Formats: sequence, structure tokens, C-alpha cells
Amino acid sequence: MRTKSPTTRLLLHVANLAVIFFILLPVAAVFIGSIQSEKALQADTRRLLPLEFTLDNFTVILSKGEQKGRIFEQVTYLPDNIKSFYAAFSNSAIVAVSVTFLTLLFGSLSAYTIARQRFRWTLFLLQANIVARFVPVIVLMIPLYVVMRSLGQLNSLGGVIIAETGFLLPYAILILAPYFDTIPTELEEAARIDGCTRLGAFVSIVLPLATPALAACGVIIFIISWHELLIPLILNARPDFMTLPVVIASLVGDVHVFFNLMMAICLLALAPTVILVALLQKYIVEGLAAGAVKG
Amino acid sequence: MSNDLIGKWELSRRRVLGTAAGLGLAGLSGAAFGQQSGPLSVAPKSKVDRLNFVVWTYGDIYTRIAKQFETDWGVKVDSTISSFNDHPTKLATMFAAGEKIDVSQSSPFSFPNFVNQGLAEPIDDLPGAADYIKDFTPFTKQVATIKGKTMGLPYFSAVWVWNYYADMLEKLKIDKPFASYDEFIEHCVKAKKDGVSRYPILWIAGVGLEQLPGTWYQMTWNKGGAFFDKQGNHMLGAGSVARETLKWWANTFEKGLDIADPESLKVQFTSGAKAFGAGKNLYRGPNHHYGLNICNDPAQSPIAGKVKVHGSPGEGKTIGVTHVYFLSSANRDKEWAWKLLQYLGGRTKDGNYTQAVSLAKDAMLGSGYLSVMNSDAVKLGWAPWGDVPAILKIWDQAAYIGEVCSSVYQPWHFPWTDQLNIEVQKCLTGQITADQCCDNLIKGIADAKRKV
Amino acid sequence: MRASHFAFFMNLPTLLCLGLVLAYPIGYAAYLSVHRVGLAQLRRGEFPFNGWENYGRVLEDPLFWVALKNTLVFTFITVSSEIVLAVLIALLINQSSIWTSRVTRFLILLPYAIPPIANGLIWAFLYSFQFGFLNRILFTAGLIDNPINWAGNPDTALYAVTVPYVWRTLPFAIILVHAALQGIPRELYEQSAIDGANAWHRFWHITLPMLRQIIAIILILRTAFAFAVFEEILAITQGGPGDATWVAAWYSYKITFAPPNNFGMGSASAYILALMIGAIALVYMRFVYRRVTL
Repeated sequence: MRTKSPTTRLLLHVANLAVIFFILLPVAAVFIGSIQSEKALQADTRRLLPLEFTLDNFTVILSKGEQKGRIFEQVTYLPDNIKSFYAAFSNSAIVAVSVTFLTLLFGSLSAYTIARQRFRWTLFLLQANIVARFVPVIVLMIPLYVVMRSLGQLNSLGGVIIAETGFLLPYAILILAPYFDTIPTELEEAARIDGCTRLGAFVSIVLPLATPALAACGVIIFIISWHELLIPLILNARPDFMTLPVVIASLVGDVHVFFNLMMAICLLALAPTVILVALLQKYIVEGLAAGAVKG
Repeated sequence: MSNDLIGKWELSRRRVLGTAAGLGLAGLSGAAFGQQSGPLSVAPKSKVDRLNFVVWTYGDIYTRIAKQFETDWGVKVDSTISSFNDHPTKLATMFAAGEKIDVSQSSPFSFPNFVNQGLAEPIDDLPGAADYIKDFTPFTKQVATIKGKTMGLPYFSAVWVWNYYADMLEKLKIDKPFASYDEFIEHCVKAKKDGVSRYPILWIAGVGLEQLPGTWYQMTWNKGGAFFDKQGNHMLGAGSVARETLKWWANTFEKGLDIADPESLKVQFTSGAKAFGAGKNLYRGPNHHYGLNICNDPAQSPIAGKVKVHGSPGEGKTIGVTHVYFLSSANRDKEWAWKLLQYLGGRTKDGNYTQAVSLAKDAMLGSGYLSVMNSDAVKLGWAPWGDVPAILKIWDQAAYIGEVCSSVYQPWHFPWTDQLNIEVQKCLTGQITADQCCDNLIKGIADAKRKV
Repeated sequence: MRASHFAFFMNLPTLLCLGLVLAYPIGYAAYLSVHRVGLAQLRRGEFPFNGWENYGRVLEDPLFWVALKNTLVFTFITVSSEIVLAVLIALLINQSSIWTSRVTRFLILLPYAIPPIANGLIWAFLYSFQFGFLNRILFTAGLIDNPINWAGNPDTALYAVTVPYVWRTLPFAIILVHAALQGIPRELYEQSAIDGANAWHRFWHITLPMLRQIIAIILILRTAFAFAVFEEILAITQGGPGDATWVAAWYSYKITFAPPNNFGMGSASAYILALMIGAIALVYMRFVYRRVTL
């Protein structure tokens, strides 16, 4: 690259700073919002940083409402869902892990056949998956509810897991199939000549080679599942089965809204995926790029 | 406010509450009503392993009452709790999917709908019901009685009051809060001109069934009008009180006098109380009386103790509501469901209106029972936050919303209110005139009937 | 085992899941949309057939058309800004000789990690008229005197809601464009540099044409998803003020789940939305499938 003039360099720095500011703006907001009390928020509506800091918002959430701290002491109308934070967190975790596991499992099985075996119907399956990605959840909500109900899977994590797996399988297949396609077939053919079954070849040769794709796919599926709102919202009514996004959404319509509490719980809810993204950026980038370019 | 003052305030409040608790329990013991045993302490013959209720969230009152029920009767109680706005949705979805629901609750605006859809069961013939009904306040009777049958027990009651910020009134050298709507405008314009408040009036105009509509209902009623006449015809035509009220109301916003806080369009009752607590407004428009519990709470509000209640102009006509609990038609066992319903909306095993009393003492909520309203739970329980005699006087002049807007009893009221919220907000922000708004709403009645 | 049997068994779990969760519900939703389905009917299980009545009611409802219009405006703004911003930012982070570019590149996936509903709430806090963080920043910077009502002003509300949506979905587009940039051969640039072309010329005549395909893909994908926007509306405006931010998905949600709970009509409106998105999906299929040689 030719060297840039100092003006160009300066402009680029400024541009970068603008972008960085834009990216960090909500993060700063959620952070600053969560460490002050509602009263401090109202006392001075022009200050950037609060007059007093408090961790009471977090204490209330993390102690299941037992320790109300100074700012919530007199409050009788603390939203009940706040208390089920741990349950919601673990529900989100269980669902996300299960969905990731199942999606990778089923998805890799399907992707393999699509990549290796060019039947008419496997190609049709691929096309169906491409289209399936576009279906808006809103149109599925009522039928999904009825289906899950007749299977007895309402108000259980199982129902949510099945629903999300079905919903996310197309994504997984669309990331894995092209990747499998790039793995040369000679190794499997050699193994089959040696007497290995198709399945055996798949498991012992192709899967290990596909680890990067599996990792990329897995991370993306985990993140999408962690973020999912509508499916658990409709399928699970009881607080012990709610996931984190559902708990957060329930605070929106709450007549007794505490902005600071909301920010605190948002911060706690986004922490896991942020850490995940920070650590596994490379994989996510690969996964996203793969899933889109090749359709 | 200095820490010293806050400390004193909190001490005195605790002392008052402590006394109130003592008085309350003594005053409402079974002896006062002559019934210790009877239907309340008898268990139904059938057996159930669990019961449930579907409610909207309110602190931890449901965990507490569920626990009490379990301790008293040995039956586990599950609760499905959602946010207030989500509740009708949650209930509908569960009912539609054939789930068992024993008890649920409703605002008066959804109740006719629920009853129409067959969600609720009448309670007239159940043991002990007659005594409750005798104790109903007039509001409660009007909400809970549908087609001659009693369909629910009261949750809480509220009336619409005005609030004002006493310190700001002092600063403006005004002796008393407004006594007429003209005076109201005068005060606000003065506050704005003197630079004391940029937006002297905070209205409750957020989207909801009783938030924005409630403000319009209340002011129309106070000025002597209504929305529908006894035959069910609308009263929104040209020159009607409702239309003129809307015109007057819209004029306080940006396109007119610009004295109305833009935040008005977002606030509901509680968020309005919190916003008022920032001390930027002079008056808070018609709102549920228990907002004072927030405005005057030193831990929540920077201007605690300075917010006062104020009645409405003229004869002080205002409106009120009672929210109810009802016995769901999808119950597991009617007798046990009735027992559970009583714990939420009636008496517990010990004969006390446990829930109603604690709501009055802790959250300044009114009750649908005359005995509770007349008791110290209210008289002393409300004292830390507002002028109780003044509020009770306003209570006497309150009419049930159904008298102002009889479409509440119709199933199409809900979608029509959705449109009402939209049209009125468009009017308040100056996108359409009050005339256009009312005309659209008149047309909208037919549209809403189609959506049912 | 024969090849076809193998393929079948390998796909069995997938087919079951897709059938249960996608295929059957889509069909059932279509079924619901041509029947009269209220709460009582749903519980009894008997729905009277009512032909196109639900669709008729939806298409006659002025609110539906407002929602549709808002959705189209929203989609147009978000997709076009996303594409422009994605290209610009991808070029920016590609400048590896500038150290701030490397910082940006590290941070670029951050918005992707935030749950949409949390994002909505955070921006609700940013936009709040009285207490909002955004206004505080502007006050402190001395840029404004009076608070701005971002999300509460009907003229600005819809635009205000596009910002959090773009913020959240931009990383996806940036990653794609950035990946595509890597695929442009250096020789093209070097050749044109020798020919004396300036930066703008290089961008317009080399970079942009090479990015055409990825831009088309982003365009189609993002349009389809923007049509179904929901979380941000739920968290920030709930459709208000007035009807300024009623969008198609919000309309279906309210019709179905707010009393009087007309599931049939709600299904019909959701179906109309799904069909529109389906049309986009078909465009995508023809466009991408032609080029994909899988």
C-alpha cells in the first residue's frame, strides 16, 4: 500500500473514533445506568455521571430480592421476576447448550448427506433450508403453541429446546454443508475401501476435519439461542421456566418500572455472550461469512 | 432534603405503620364481624394436589399469599405472573390451549371481554359469597356484577386525583392549587413565563386501557359529559363535551400553549409518579391516587413529602375503578378454586382481609370492601403519603368508569381503545385536529366491531 | 447400507424437527387464517370456516396499511444505511496500518453479542426524554439546551427506532463486506495505481463492482429480516406515539394476543407478512442459487 498523507491518517483516526464511540455508546449507557439509583437519575437530569454510585441494583438481583439495599428498602413493588434471575440464567444456559448440541448433531448429519450425496431430494432439502431461514417467528407462534401443548411440552425447557432446534437447523446446515463440500473425498473413499462404513467414515474422518466449521456454527447457534425472545415467551408461562430475555421483556410492560434495575439486569444478561464473542471472534466471523455467501 | 430530615421522616413513618399494624389487626379480627368459623375455616371435601393463579406482577404479594395458603391448607399453589400489559395475552394463550387455570384477575376494561369469552364463573352461590357481596363498595358492585351475576372479588380500587408540587406553588406565590380549569391554565402559563417550570403540567397520556383514556374520561366526566349515552350511542359529535375537552387538552401541548411535558405521552401511572418526582412539573394530571406512595417516598423521590393531593374542579366529579380477581371456568376443582380466590380477594382462614389490608398499608391501594375502606388500614396506613380525609372525600365523589364510557361492557371496547390511544396521541401531538380525531373514532366503532 | 437409505436415516432427525417446528406450523397457520378462531373456539377445538373473511378484515383495516407503510419505510432506511455504513466501515477496518482501525476491528462484533431485547431497553434508556443518557451527553457537550424527545415525537420516532436496529445488525454486514474485500486481487489496485488512478477512482471502479454480489446478498437478507422487526418496537415505543411505529409484526402480535384475541385474523395478517418475505426469499433463491454450485 502506498503511504498515506498525514491528513489522510488523521481523518482515518477520526473516523475510527467516531465508529468506536457509536459502538460503545449503549455499552456505556447500560453500565452507567446500572450503577446508580432511580432517585439519582431524577435528581439531576443533566449530569453525565451520577452523584452517587451504588451496587444495590446488582445486590437486589443477585440475592433474589432478599437484600434490598438502601435504595429498595421501602419499595413494596419490586418486580417479582427479578427474583428468578438465577433460574432464568440457568434456563437460558441449559437451553442454549442443548440447542447448540442438537443442532450441531442433526445439522452435521444432514449437511453431510447434502454435500456428499446429490440426490434430488437432498438438494431440495438444501433449498428448503435456505427458504426456511426467512420465516418470521411471528407467523409460527400460535401453531407452535398448540403443537407443543399436544406433546405436553408446554412450560418445560424441552419444548423450547425442540422449537429452537427446529428453527435454527437451517442456519446450521447452511454453514456446514458448504464446508463439508470443501473437504476432499479421497480420505473417505480410502477409508471405505478399507472396510469402514459410511457413517464410520463420517465420524472418524470428516468430523475431525470439520472442527473449525463446527466451532463456528456452534458459537453462532449458541448466541442466537441465548438471545431468542419470542419462542420462550410464548411457550413458557411460569417464572421457573423463563429464560433471560423473557424476564427482561417482562420488565418492559411492568407498571412499576425501574430503569436502573432494568439496566443492571441487561448488563448481567449480555455479559456471557459478550465474553463469548470476545474470546471466539475468529470463529464467529468465519461462520457468519460462510453462512451467507454461499447462501 | 437533609439526611436528618429523611431520617426523621422514615422513623415517624415506621412508627405510624407499626401502630397501624397493631390497630389494623385488632380492628379487623373476627370478633368485629362476628364470624370466627364458618365457611372460611372448613376445607372442601375433594382433594387437589395443586392450584394455580394467573396474575400480573405486583411486588412479592403473590409469593406471600401463596405461601400462606400452602401453610393454611397444605395445597401447593403455582403462580403464573406476567407484566400488567402482557396479562390479557398470557391468560388468553393459556385458556386457548386448554390449560387449567383456577383463579385469575382482570382490570375492569378487560373484564366484560373475559366474561363474554366464558373465562369467568359466577360466585353468587358459593359459601360465604353473600357476605362479601354485602361488603362491596359501589364501584366493586358495578365492575363485578355482569348480567346480574357476581363474577369476581375485588383486588384493589383507585380513584383519579390531581397532584401538585407544593414547593413550586410557593415559589410562584400562589396560595392554593387551581379551582377551575381557567385558573389551571393561568398557573401553568405563569410558571412557564416566570421560568420556574418549562413544562408545568405532566399528563398521564401513555398508551393503555386506562392511562391515556382515563385522563380523557375523567376530565370529560368532570365537565359534565360522557362518551356514550344510556342507549349506547356515542357522544363524540361536534360540540360535545368530550370533543371540547379534547380540544382544550390538546391545546396544552406543543402546538398550543406548550405547557405540557412531552414525557406525558410515554408515562403510565407509576412512571408518571416517578417522573413527577424529579420536581420539574407543577401539576400532575388525573391519575390513580396511590401514586402518592411513590412521589412521597423518600427513598424513591427527590421531592418526597412535597407532593399533595388535589381534587378536581367544579363539584369535584371524578372517576374510579376496581380491579378484580375471578374464578376461572378452567378450574381444576371449583371449591378449592373458590378457597384460593378468597385468599387473593377475600378473607384468609383467620377471617381477615389479609391481602386487602396489606395492600392498603404497604402500597396505598384502595380496597373494594367497605369495611377495609373505613378501617385504620386506610386511615392510618395511607397517612404517611397523603392527606387521607381529602382523598376519601374525593372518593365519595367518584363514579365508576362504566358510567362515563359504557363501551367498557362491550367486547369491541378493547380494539376501539387501541385506536383511541393512537388517534388521541396524534391529536395531542398536533398531527390531526380534535375534530378529525373524534370523527375517526366514531368511524372506528364500526371497525372495532368487525375485529371481534 | 444403500446410499439412499443412509441419506434418509442421516436426515431423519432433521426432517422430524423441521417438520414439527416449521412445516406443520406454517401449514396450520394457513389453516387458522381461513377460519374463525377466537379464544372459545380455540379451546373447544372447533373452528368454523370463514373463507377469506379474515384476510378481508385485515386489508380493510387502516391500521394495517399504516403498519405496512411504516415497515417499508423502516426497512428502506435500515437496509440502505446498513449497506452504506458496512462498506465504509469495512474499508476503514481494512486499513491495518492505522492502529485505531485495529481497535475498531476488535470491537466490531460487540453489537452482535447484545440480546435484541436488552439492546432495545438500553436504547429506551438512551432515548428517554427526561432521564435519557443521550440527552445528558449532549448537554454535557454543550450541544443542546433543551432535552430532545427522540422516541416520543411522532415525527422522529420511527427514525429513532432504526438506529438501535442498525447498531445491532451492522456487524453481520460489515463482516461479509470485509470478507469480500479480502477476495479482491491486489493486482487490480496495483495496476490502476500505475495507471495513475486516485483513491476515489479505485474505489468506484474496482472495489465497488467487486462487492456487488455481497451487497446484493446483504440487501436481500437484511430486507427480509427487517420486515419482521419486533424486539426494538416492543422495548422502546410499543408502537407509539400514536401509530408512528406500528410495524407489521407488531400488528399481528396485537391482533392475536390482545383481547378480543382474534387468532384467525392475526394468523391472516402474519401470513400476509410471511408471503411478502417469501417473495423476497424466492428472489434470493434465484439470485444465489444460480451462482451456487453446491
